[in-house]
Amino acid sequence: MKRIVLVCLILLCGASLLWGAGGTKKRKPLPHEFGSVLISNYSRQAGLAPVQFDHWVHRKNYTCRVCHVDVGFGMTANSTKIRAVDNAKGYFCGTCHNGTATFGSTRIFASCATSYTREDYQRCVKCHALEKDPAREEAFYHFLERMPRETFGNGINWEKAEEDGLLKLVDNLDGVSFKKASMKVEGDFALKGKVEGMPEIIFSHAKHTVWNGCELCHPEIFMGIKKGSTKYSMIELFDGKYCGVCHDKVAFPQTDCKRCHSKQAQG
Amino acid sequence: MSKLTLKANPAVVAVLLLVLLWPAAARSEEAWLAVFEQTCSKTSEAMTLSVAELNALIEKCGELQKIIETQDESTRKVYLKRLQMCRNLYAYMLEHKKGGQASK
Amino acid sequence: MGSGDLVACLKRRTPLRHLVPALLLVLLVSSGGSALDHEELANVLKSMPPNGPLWRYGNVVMRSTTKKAGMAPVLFVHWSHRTRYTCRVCHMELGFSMKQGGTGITRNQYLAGNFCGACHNGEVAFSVKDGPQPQCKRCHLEDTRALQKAFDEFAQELPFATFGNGIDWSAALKEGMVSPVNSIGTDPPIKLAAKLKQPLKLGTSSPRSDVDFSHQDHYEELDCSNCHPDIFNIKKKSTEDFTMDSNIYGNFCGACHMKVAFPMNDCKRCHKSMSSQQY
Repeated sequence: MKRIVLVCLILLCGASLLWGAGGTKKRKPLPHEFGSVLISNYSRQAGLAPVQFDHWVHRKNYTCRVCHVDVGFGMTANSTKIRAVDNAKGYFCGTCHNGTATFGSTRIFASCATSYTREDYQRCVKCHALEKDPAREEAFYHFLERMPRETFGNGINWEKAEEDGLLKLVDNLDGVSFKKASMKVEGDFALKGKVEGMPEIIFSHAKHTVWNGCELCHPEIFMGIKKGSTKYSMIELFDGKYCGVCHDKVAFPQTDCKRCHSKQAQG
Repeated sequence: MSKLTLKANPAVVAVLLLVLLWPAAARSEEAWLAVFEQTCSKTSEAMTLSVAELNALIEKCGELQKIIETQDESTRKVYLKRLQMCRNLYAYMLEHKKGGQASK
Repeated sequence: MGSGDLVACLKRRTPLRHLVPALLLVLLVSSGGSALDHEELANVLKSMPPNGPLWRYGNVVMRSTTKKAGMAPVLFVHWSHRTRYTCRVCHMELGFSMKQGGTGITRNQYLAGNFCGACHNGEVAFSVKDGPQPQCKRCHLEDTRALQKAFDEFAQELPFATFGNGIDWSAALKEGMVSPVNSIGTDPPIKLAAKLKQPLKLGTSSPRSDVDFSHQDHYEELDCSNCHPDIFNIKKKSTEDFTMDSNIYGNFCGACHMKVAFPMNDCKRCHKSMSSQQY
């Protein structure tokens, strides 16, 4: 009897504690959900569901730079403050999603307009999705089949996919991107981790600049130029800062330790 | 002949003026875009530019900012962000060069 | 005397009488908490000491899509798998979730060689495919008696424990009676950092109940990503920030050490300086 009361008391305390603390286990996104961003600034005001933006659909065709530098999208959800009128004018999503632009031989569907009919609405809910789309999920797994694999994130090794020529990423949008001179790329360098015995981190500028250019990271994400001038800790990275800006929710996640901590230590 | 045209119809004159001035207006809008392109297309070679060049580019960015702030909301939103990234990169490079330390 | 008294006695001792209102109360209070849903809480309560039948400990019922498919739910048994593979192989290399229902397994998926199908392909283990002798009912269990018998035979050779599966897995591992594979090659582990080989002292409310956490012991069967940062955000270093209650609810250590790894009946395993009472 006493034991039961004790158990119930503990559970009661536990429940109230957790109700305050809010729990700690996060649900890990499934491969087709990884990189999905919920954009919710003005959609509800307009009477539409928030936009579910999937990175995988876009990153298989374009570099990060094209959208995040040339088109001007922000690096965190809701930071860009996109309005339907911006899209209708040919900015942001509307840069490509204007009904006339094509990728290869496919015409890219138009995005927002100032008014829409019942038929148009079907197009709106492609992005302002009301419910999960099994067709999109299936399309992902169909795409996944052809790609080199990795354990985490989307399950796709995007880097290898490009190396192997399976993906040819567009880095220049006519009328939006500027003609740039080719970049002299910095070499790779090693960074020592804080925990003794963890293999050193090999950072490759080349691997990053081929998709990002310079201004995406510098100086907004990475302030210090001198190597090691700012000490980053995994705590901050897991919190979505520095490397974690991308390698938390979009690029390969930081749970894949040896992708970065790859220098073979002696002994 | 021209006297005839001028006397004929003030509306025609107005239209003629508009036609003449319109491209100029459009040109001035495109003008800042062209300057924007000129200024911000150098980000990929920012490492090789000299301190003087970087200073000039940053100044140009300041001027561009004033022009962009007079544009409509959508243009402002997009181009101010792009300008900010471009300008900050140049400032970053400038600081690095002035500091005189190697990045490795 | 007689059946009337017996019934009255049983009624007094049956936990259900007390459990139901307690459960209701707890559910009411915890309705805002996102840590566990109500079904899981029921499971937690069922797993409190005593842990229930030995063969049942660590079993996971997978029923997210089975009903729709017209099949019995899958009864996944940890005990038969953990002798062959470490936690890491399934929960990291193959992508199984640590939460029931969180993986997203469908027949199409495992037929394509993902999840269960990675091993249950007719070569490493019995196949999931349809064929002359379909093995569907081995997992989509309708009757557990054969399974219970298999467990009894299985547990014969292994060192006994008074909780969980009735098997001391840790001793079995140390004595070499089981040698689970730590990687099936898709993502081999890196060497454990020297600093992490030292036991980590986790303070509690009383020095007598301090815990010495061994990264090394856990790294033998797990990968960094299994715990970090989803279960243990490295910001919080000591157990002052989390309590036994949150553990019971399946957070922190309780993510594994409530329903799959050795249950927290055995206090001394972690709280080495505590007196040896079992609960």
